[in-house]
Amino acid sequence: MALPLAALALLSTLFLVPRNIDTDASIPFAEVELEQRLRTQQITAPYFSGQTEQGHMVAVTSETARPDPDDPKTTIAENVFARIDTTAGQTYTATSDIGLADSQYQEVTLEGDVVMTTSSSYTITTEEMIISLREIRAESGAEIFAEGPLGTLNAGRMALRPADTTDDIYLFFTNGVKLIYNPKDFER
Amino acid sequence: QGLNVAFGSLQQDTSEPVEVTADSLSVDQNDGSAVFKGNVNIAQADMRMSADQVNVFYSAGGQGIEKLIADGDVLLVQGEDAAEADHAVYSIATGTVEMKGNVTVLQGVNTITSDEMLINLRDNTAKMQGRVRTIIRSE
Repeated sequence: MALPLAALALLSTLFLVPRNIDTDASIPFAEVELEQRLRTQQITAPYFSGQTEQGHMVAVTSETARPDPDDPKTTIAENVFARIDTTAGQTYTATSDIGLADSQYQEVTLEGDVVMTTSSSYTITTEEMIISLREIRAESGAEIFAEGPLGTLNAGRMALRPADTTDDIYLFFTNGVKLIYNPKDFER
Repeated sequence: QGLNVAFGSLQQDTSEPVEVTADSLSVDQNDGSAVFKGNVNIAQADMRMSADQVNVFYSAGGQGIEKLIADGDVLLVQGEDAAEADHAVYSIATGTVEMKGNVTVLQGVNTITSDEMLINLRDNTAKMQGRVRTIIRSE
């Protein structure tokens, strides 16, 4: 009977031995960064991804995202990368300096040096593009310049979306288009 | 049976850039098929072709354009000559244009009509076939 009592006594002394726990060890945030983060409530590497009704995938990531000081319902993201994967296996990516998202996260407006690439080998550049997060729809808010299998193309506007009649996805270039096809560029 | 006519006057260099302007262009993301719609104008060197709609026929491998298929109020002009038709296929590499349906060629005071016409832009020759009729207007 003595053995367990002895063990108990030994154990209880364990907590009496004074040890000092360093409570204010350095947390890996510099003071200034902490303040900046508190002031702007900045999230790093935020990620949004959703599936549309038809099963297509839309994902948007950015380096940083924070509420717009003037309009808290809007989120400002920097160095934005958007990607759309359709069930038919087509892929579209878009990058931009800035992305603005509304509070319901229905769509993201990409601004500044927007570059979209498509699996149909088009590279499209514009100043502004609105990407829906609920369906396959990306519309430029400005003129576009594109390079692709047909040559180089200028257009007033561009939209990536299903055709009105079918679910097939199209690239629509509208508001006046001008294509330059240089046969010499495509000679084998 | 068919009528050979001269068409255009400048040997067309078919490796010159081709410019296509239109109201819109749609590219089907499944098969890449591209259609220009509305006020479509094609220009290469001094050849001009206009139509309501132009479909692109890609070269092998899907890179580059082999043919432009024009439909609706097609008008082709090169040098002094003009030809109208319902439908035309312009093969860029070979520099040939096949026109079909109500083909009408205006050459000076003469008007020649036929069902079809094959034009070679490089050597400025053309062959009209099918119910060829020449209407000579006396001044």
